Amino acid sequence: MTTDKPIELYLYVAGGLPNSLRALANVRAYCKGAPPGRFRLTVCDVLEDPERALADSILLTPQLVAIDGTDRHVLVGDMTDLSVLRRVLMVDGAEFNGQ
Amino acid sequence: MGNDDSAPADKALELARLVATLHETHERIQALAGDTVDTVLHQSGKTYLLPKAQADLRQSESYLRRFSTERAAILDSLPAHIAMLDADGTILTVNHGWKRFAEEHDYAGDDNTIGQNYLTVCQTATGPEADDARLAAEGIRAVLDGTRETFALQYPCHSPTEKQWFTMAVTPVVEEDRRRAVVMHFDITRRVLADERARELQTRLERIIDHANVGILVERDGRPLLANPELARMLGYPSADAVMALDTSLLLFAEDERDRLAGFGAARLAGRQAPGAYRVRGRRQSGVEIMLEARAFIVRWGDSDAICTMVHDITEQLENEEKIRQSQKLQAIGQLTGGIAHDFNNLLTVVMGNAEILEDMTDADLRVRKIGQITRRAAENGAELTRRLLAFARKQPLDPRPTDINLLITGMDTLLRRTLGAPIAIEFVRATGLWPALIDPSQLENAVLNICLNARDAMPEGGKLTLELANVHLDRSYADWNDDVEPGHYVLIAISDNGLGIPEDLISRVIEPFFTTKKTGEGTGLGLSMVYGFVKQSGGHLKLYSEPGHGTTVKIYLPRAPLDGSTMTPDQTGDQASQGTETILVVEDDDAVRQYVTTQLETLGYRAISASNGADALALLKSGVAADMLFTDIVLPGGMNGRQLADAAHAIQPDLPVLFTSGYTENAVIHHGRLDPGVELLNKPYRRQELARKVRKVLDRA
Repeated sequence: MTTDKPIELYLYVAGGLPNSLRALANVRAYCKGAPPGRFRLTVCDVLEDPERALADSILLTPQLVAIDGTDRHVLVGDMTDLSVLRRVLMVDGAEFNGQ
Repeated sequence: MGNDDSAPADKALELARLVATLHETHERIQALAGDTVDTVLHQSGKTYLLPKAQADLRQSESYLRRFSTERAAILDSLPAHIAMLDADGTILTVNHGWKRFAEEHDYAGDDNTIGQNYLTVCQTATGPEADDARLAAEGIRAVLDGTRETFALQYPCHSPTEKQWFTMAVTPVVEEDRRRAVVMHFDITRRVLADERARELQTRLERIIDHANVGILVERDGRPLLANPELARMLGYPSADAVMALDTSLLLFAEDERDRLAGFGAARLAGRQAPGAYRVRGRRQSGVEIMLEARAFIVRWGDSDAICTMVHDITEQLENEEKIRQSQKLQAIGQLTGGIAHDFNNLLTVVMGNAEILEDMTDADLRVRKIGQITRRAAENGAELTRRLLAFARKQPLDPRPTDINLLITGMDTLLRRTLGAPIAIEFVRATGLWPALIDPSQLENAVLNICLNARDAMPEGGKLTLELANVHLDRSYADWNDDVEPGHYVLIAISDNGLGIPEDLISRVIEPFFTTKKTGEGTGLGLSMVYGFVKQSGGHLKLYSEPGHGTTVKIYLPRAPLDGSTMTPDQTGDQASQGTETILVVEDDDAVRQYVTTQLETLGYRAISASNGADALALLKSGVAADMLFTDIVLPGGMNGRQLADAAHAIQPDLPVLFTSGYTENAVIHHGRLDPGVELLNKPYRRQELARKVRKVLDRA
């Protein structure tokens, strides 16, 4: 599915913890591989801004929340396998080669 | 916990229960969220680190520690001063080299440069490096801004005790939206000094090559790689570049030498034997060939071998060597002929004297007197020949006097016109203010006549003979280039003909005695050699110029007479035989000559007593023999020569007149070609009339 509005990605991480760093790197790489303007990424460090995380009902880090219009998808972990993301967002592999 | 008043055992139980719950909770969270979760958030805002993440964190912290230790070790061991700058130029981290340099140079003031802004440090630098420091700041700024990818700057950094050079290299470190830079300073002092030294060596070497007085050529397969100015000069090219422009350096050598030289070069480059030093004929740009002495060797040139040849022009040297050889040869011939002439004159004295006796015998028949006449004439011819040999050997007694050459040559006018004949026009070019020459005038007349006769023979169809007189000054450089010439003032007689000329290969030989181009019987070959000997003995100089087909010029340089002393011309003496009755002491070692002289003197009416050496003669004088005159040979055996004998005799009888005789003269009575004042000399062989006249003259003067 394609829309003109970008898919909002919210990545919640905990400082420089290993899985959080890996998740950040993986998501950034994934976004880079996508057509420009497809995603808008916001990174939120729960150690710095726990209120925001609580407001968004985040319980775990690293955690990625993707908001595509009214759909809200949640992924937990270091995002090593982002094929999951592609699947949940139903982004066609033929459209871009994002990891 | 400390305020809880529960019993310790209950607390422990509860704690254990809670830990178990915590563990189960962790396990359950992990089971639910997967094992790549770091933290869980509690609604209080607290985050809890999960055990797996804790382990990961510990491990990554240990990695990080190891990594940073290793990185520090590597950076510290690098021979460079390295710093990481933040985007604004703040020094984030430095290596050991940077720290040490900063300390040593008191750059940052403090031992810790981290935290300072390096751009500010550079921009506010003072001293001789300020300009370079500002350039560095601009470069770093550009790299940090991203307007330049990298930046490098080489700069000097000299202290009063040490000269140093550095290269600064700036490379960017790009991380996401952050741009930092690594600044490195390398000490390149050794490289700069080595470069400087290499440049200086090169300049020095180039200067030496440019000013060397040896021609230098470097070539490979004939292609010129280097030529110096001397090579160009030697071979008549306008510049070294003109030599470099040649297609092949073989053009610098004579055509028939090129195969040989190419062979040498090929052999040398192939590692085979080739002569390292050799003579080769060079070819000037004009085509004229010169003789070169060459030294060749291999030099590394670029990435392969080339041949360096150094050459000297030895053309002039060879010519000079030839001149010296020629002059040595003439000297040797002179010594030989002089020795022979001496003994020969003794023989001729006897032959001539006895022939005269035969001739004068009025009671003998006509045939005997005729034989006497023929013998005397032959002996006279022999005497003339010997005289010429002595002249060549520079051993004839000369009587040099200040002589007016203008007058002398003018006086020869009639003689020359008669001798040379009508088809030859004679032109005199006299000089005004001509210096007097110190020369034996009668011998000079002989010499001039001789040269004129040669000129006549060179002009069988007739021609023009020019006699030219001039004052000349031969300077030091002329003297240096001509063997046996003293610089100074000379009177020049130049005798030129427009005849056949002398071929180049013969010109150095024409003054050798007995060398003649005339047919056997037409000439003795002694004419020019006699003139040469005479001129040399007189302290003059003789030079021949000839161009085959155009003519020959003989230049005679006569020494200028000292200003004092009156100029004289040859005096004529009477020809009458004289007689007397005085007692004459004859000293002569040759028995035949002594016997002849004694007889002759007796026939002239004198009383003759004789001795064969100086000691015997002195003994006679001491014994009281009353002698009116001493007649002695100059060359005597027994360690006392005629001169010494005369001195000893004067000690006994102070006013005893002395007449010397000799076949040739040693230095006893002739000094520098001149008879000592008051000394009378009778040359062997002599005729009876000459003996009679000379004896009378000496006796009468006493």
